[in-house]
Amino acid sequence: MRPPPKNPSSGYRFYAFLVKLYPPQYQQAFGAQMLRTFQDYYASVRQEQGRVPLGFWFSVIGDEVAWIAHEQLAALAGRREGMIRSSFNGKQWLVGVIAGLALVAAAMISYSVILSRFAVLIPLILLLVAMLGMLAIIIAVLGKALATALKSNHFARPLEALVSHWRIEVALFGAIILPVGGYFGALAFSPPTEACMGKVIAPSAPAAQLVTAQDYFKQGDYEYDQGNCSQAIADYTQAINLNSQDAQVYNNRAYTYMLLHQYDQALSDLNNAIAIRPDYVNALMNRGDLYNYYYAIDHNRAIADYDRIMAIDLGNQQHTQVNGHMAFACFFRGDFQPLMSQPDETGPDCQLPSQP
Amino acid sequence: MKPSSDPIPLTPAVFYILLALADGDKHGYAIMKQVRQDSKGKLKMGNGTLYGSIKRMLADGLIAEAGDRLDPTLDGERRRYYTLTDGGRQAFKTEMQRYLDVAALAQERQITSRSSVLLGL
Repeated sequence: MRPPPKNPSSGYRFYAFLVKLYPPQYQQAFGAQMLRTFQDYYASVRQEQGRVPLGFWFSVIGDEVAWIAHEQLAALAGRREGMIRSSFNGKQWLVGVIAGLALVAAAMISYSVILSRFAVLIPLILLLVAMLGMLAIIIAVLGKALATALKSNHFARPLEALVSHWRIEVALFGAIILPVGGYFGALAFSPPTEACMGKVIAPSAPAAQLVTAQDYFKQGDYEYDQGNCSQAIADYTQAINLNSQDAQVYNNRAYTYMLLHQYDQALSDLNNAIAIRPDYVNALMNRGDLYNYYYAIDHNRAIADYDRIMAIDLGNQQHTQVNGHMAFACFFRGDFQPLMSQPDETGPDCQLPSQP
Repeated sequence: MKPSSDPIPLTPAVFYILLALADGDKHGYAIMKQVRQDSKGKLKMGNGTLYGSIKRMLADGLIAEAGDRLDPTLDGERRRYYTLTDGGRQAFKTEMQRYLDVAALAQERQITSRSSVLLGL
């Protein structure tokens, strides 16, 4: 290969970088020629116009990116073709359909579980694994289809060759539509908005009479356990009207609002609950989760709420639970270290100072 | 690989590269300049398109490498030249004939005047 110029311009160096993005075999065959031709072209533009206009680079980058993608896909297709043919023996469509259905199922289950606010970590991992598996199969199917398309139509423009092959369209359909469909399917099957979905271990008893705030609070818990969210909220509201200084009522109404996906009201109630009882763990936990997963997403605020819980002496089990959510908040924020730490360590704070 | 005999319409890039090489061997940048000149600036072929097309045309036997040599109009470095093969010349003729057939058909149906068709070629 021809050695690079002694004092390469920044333009040459940038173009050399682009050439390195081509597959190795392509670089070996054409890399040196491309650099030589680019130098000629670059020099002529500078000579004609006195400078290299921005449009030149738009044109170069647009052209190269399209062809780099094309050549990389072609290389991938070439590598995949034999393996796919021997592995699936022409049954790629069946594999694609099964994988697509599996992904939809996994997505629906996972999203449903996430939306219903239980056990976040495992469904997310399952979803991730399912999507990676689907991606691998799509790449495999796409590779075979690309190989066929590219071989059968050397003269067509690359993009025309790609989109003219039905298998590619099917694969792209699977890659884009199925996860989206799974998400909206999950939404359709997510907890109904007219009934609570809480798992009731010890159902509350109804209030004997409805006179005091405590009576309405008890009745609200009873309605909640019966799955009557709207009535529970009405009872909690009546309890608040009679006594606006009970943090527990605000928290329970907030949790019921959360199950109904009415997060703005939930956040307002949680703020009230925490204002009344700053060390109220359940309300801090709920607000942290709200910020972490559901509404007005703000992982710093979620971490601040979890930090406040960590500062309260609760016993090991509670802190372990907080650790998991904290790790997620840190992960979403881009701090990965807490995910590596052990659950019984002092607790990941993402190097954030604990906020009061 | 033997030249393709399928009468598939050539892309503009392939067609203009064949046209550029029809009057003699050329290296990459010379092809690029010739294409721009032949298309009256309408087809600005980038390096990626040029060498992507060259790769496929080599594979299909439309063109062949004609060795490295100096270009007297440029600096003293050697450049790789490309030349038309018989298959490439035949593909070019076939494509030209297709254009002429289409032009004749348009003329026959009075879609456009003969002079404008010829000027368009």
